[in-house]
Amino acid sequence: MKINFLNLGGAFCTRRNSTAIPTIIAKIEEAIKANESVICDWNGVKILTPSFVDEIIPHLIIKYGEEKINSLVSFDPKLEGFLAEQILRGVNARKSV
Amino acid sequence: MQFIEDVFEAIVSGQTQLKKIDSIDDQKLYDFYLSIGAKSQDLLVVLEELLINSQEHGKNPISFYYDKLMNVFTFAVVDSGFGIHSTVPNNVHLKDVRGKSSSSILRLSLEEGISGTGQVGRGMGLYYLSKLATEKKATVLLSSNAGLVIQQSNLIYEKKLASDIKCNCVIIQINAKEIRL
Repeated sequence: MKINFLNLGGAFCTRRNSTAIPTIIAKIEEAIKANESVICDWNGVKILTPSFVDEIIPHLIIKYGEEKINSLVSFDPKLEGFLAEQILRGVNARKSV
Repeated sequence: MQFIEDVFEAIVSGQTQLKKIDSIDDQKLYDFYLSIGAKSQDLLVVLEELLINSQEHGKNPISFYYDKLMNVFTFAVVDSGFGIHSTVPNNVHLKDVRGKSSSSILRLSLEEGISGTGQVGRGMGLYYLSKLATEKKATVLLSSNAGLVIQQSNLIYEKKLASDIKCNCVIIQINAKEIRL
């Protein structure tokens, strides 16, 4: 399955309160439950922020486990720098509560 | 290169020679970033997170300033809200901040996960600003109320200002080669 961030969230996937986030999470969960690979396609998105990523992936890692998420969920283009770092930070922040 | 404190004083006194983009938004920021040809996604992400902070906690108008001198870029995001020094103490997860100066509170806001919301995962904009300073050898200045903090690479200085600047101001100075130009 491919989830098109541009279609769902627009050119600026930046804010935590984006109405696209619940839809994206629901689609990823649908794939995970079917044990299918899912590609989060953010080609064409002008800005993607750590805040936006933080509202999606850490929550799923805590719910389904790191191994399952890492094996089934990927990003195209691949997340780098602060975007990639935020996934681990987001998981740790939620575990520490 | 201008010293970052001189850049700051010129901005708050209305005497700056930096170029200005009024009422900055996502599209204007992106267009500007494309126009300078920068390829660092991390810097773009930090600028966007600062813009979101200003929109959420600050007050319009939000202005963006920039310039390039001797291979050093200067970027500034300025809003006119109460902002950082007043919202961070609202974080219920923080230890008592009574008696702390505005500068100390600003310094605290550069740490991981410290925000005025107290919600899990929040407070990353200023944390990544600080990380940018460390990883890209940038100089950053953060000021709110009568407090001012400057971070040069991993060294942090605090300063108390003579009076309330009545705005929130974040300035980044970074070498062009650090943003792949």
